[in-house]
Amino acid sequence: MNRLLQWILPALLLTVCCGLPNQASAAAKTYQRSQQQYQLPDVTLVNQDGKRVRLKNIIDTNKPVVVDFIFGTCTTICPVLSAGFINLQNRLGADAAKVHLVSITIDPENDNPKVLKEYLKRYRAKPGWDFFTGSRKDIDLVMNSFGAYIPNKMSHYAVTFIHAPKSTHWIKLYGIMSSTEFMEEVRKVGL
Amino acid sequence: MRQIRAIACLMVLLLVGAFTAALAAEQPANSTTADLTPAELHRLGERIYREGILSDGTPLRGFIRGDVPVDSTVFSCANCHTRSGLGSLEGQVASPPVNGPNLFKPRYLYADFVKNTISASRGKSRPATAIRPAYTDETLAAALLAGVSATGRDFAPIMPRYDLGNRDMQILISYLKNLSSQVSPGITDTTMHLATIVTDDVSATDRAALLAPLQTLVSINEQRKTQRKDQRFAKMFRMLDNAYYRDLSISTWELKGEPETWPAQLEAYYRKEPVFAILSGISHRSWQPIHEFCERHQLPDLFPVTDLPVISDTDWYTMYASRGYYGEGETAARYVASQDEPVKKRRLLQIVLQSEQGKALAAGFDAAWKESGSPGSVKTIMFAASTPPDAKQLKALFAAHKPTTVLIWGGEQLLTSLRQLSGMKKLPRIYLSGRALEKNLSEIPENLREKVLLTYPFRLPEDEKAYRGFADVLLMSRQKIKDDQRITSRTFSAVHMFLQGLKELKLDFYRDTLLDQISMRPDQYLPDFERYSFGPGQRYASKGCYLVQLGSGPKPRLIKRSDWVVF
Repeated sequence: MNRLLQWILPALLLTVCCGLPNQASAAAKTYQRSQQQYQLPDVTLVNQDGKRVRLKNIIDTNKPVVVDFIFGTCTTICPVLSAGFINLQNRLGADAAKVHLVSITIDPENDNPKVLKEYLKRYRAKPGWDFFTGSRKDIDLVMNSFGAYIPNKMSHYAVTFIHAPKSTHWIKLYGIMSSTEFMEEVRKVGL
Repeated sequence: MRQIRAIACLMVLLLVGAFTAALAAEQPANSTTADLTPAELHRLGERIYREGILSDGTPLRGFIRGDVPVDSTVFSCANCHTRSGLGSLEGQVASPPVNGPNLFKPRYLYADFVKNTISASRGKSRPATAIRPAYTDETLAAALLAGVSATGRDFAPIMPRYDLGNRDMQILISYLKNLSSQVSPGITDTTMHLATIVTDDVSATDRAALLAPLQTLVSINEQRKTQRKDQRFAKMFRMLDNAYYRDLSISTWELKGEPETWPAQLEAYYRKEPVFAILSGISHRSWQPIHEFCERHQLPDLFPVTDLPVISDTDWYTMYASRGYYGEGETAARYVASQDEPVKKRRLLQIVLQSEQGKALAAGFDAAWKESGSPGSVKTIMFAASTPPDAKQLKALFAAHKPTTVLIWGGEQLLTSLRQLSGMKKLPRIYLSGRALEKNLSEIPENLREKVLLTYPFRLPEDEKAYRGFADVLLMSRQKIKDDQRITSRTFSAVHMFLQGLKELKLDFYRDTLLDQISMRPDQYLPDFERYSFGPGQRYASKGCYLVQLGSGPKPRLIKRSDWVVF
C-alpha cells in the first residue's frame, strides 16, 4: 500500500501541476454565432444627449452597427458587454468611429438621458458608442423584434447583434466573447 | 528500481519546494499593512471592494474573458457580489457569497445545517460533504489573481482576474473577513425588532391609517408561528427556510416639535432599542432629518409615506416609493422641453409658493430643465406660503412677462385665485401639481381646464380599482380605517416590499443584504404608483408621472396627455 502511494502521489501532483494551466489556456469558444433576419419596428429612441432618433436612421447607415441590450445600474452582464465595447473602441484606435456601437436600455424607467450619459462617461466611451432609451412600449417592440425580449431585467443575458452596411441580415452572437473574438466578428462584416 | 524511486522522491521534493516557493511568493507579508490603523485598513478595504480603487488611489485592474482588460471602477467586487457580499443571481450569472463567514468555512449545498444532513436508516445520519473547502488567505489570493477556486476549478470567464499587489491583497482579504460577519443589530434569537416613525404634524386618523397595515403584518406573522407547529404545515415552513420564524416587533417612534430636534429624539429611541430597520413611517414635513439619521446608523428605512424625500444619487439606506413633488417638477420640465415649439419664443413663468411642497416642485423643475439644456427662458417669482398670489397679481404677472407657459407650484392655497382666473381670455398654458391638489381637482373651473395640465404621479383612477382591492383584501379589510390620503395603501406597499426582501434574506440578518435583495426584485404592481421598478442602487421605486387634463363635470375624468415616463 505504502509503495503504491509512493508512486501515485507524485503522479497526481504532476497532473495537478501541469494539467491546470493547460486547461485554463485552452478555453473553448463560449458564444454561439448565427445569421438572422429581423423586422425592426419604426420607433423613435432617445440618446444620451436627449436627442430623438428614428431606429431606422440608427441602423441604415454606411457603417457596421453593433447592438446590445444593457441597463445603467446592471451589475453583472452589462459591465462585461460594455467592457467589450470599450475595448473594441480602444483596439480600433483612430478607426473607432468607423463602427457604430449601439446600446439600448432594457430599464427605460430609470435610464433617462442623464443616466445614459453618466454610464458612457464611466466607461470612457469614445464618439461612436451611443446609448438609447425610449418609452417602455417602444423598447419592448425593439427587444421583441430582435427576439431578445427580457421581461425582467434581472434575468438578463448576453447577446450582441452585428449588422453590415446595407445587409438584409444580422449576425447574432449569443454569449460573451473575448476581445479578439469580438474584433474578428466585427471585421467579418467589413470594417 | 531503486534509481526510479530515487528520481521519484527527488521529483516530489522538487514539487513540494516549488509549491512552498509559490505560496511564499503569494503569501502577503504581514508587515505590508502594519502602518495602518484598523479603521484605516477597513476604509481602504471598503474602497477596493465597493469602488475598485486601490490603496494608492489608482483603479484596480483585471481581465475578463481571458483578454478583455477592465479597470475596476466599474468592475469592483460589490458590483456583482453586492454591497453586503452575499452575492447575486442575474440571468445566467451567479455571483456567490464572498463575505467572511461564507468564504472562510466550507461551503455546503444548502445554508441550512438540517438540510445538509444525510439521513441513513433508523435515525442515523451524517453531515453532507462540503462542495468547497474553506478558503485560506493563500487560496483566496490565488482565486483573485488567477481565478482558481479553493476546489481547484476555474471561475467563469466573466469573473475578473485581478492585478493586486501584496499590500492591496492583504487589505482586501482583511475587509472580506469582516464583511457581513456580525448579525446586524435588532435581531435576537426570537425576534426581529423594527420601528416606524410618526411625526406630530400627522393627524390621529392618518396615524391610524399608517399603523393598521403594520399591525396586520405582526398578527399575520403570529399566525404563521402557530401554523408552523402544525404537522401538516411543518414541511412547507421548512422549505420557506426563512426569517418569518422570528416574531416581529414594530415600535412606533413618535417625533415631536421642530425637525431640528428630531435627530436627538431619534438617537434616544435608537439607544433604547437598536432596531434592524425602519418600516414605513409618515410625516408631512421633509423626510431629510430621518433620512440623514438612517445614513449615519446604516439603518434601512423602507418606503416611508412622504412626498418630500431626499433626492440623492449616492445615499444608500432610505428606499422611497417615489421622488415625490421633486419628481413631479422634473416631469413637468421634461414635458415642456419635449413640446414641439420654437425655443426662442418659449417664455416660462414659474410661480413658487415658499412651502416645502412648492420648493420641492420648483427644485425638481429647475434641475430637469437645466439637464434638458434650458430650452427657453424661465422667470421665477416667489411668494410666501402664507400669502399666495391672488387673481389680480397673477393677471399682472401674466401681462408683464407674457409667458407662453406658466408653472404654479403650491397646494390648496391657490384654488381661490385659480377660480378667479376663469373669466380671463388668452390664458397661457398652466401647469399645476396633481398630488398637491389631488383632493380638490373638481374645484378647478371648467372653462380653465382646457388650459391646465396637471402632473399626476399615480395610476389613473379608472385603472386603480383592481390594485386597491388587492390591498384591501390582504391587509385592510379587518380594520375599517378612513384613508383618503393613500396612507394605508402606501404602507401596504412598504410591507409587501419588506416581505419580498425578508423572503430572500433567509437567515442572513445583515441590513445591507435586506436592501440588496429588495433592489434585485422584478417590477411590482402595487396600489397608487403605476409601477415600482428596482435595480441595484436604485432608491426611488416609482420612476414615472403622468401629465393629465381634466374632463368636464363635477367629477372630472383624468385624461392622459403623456406616457408614464417622460424624457
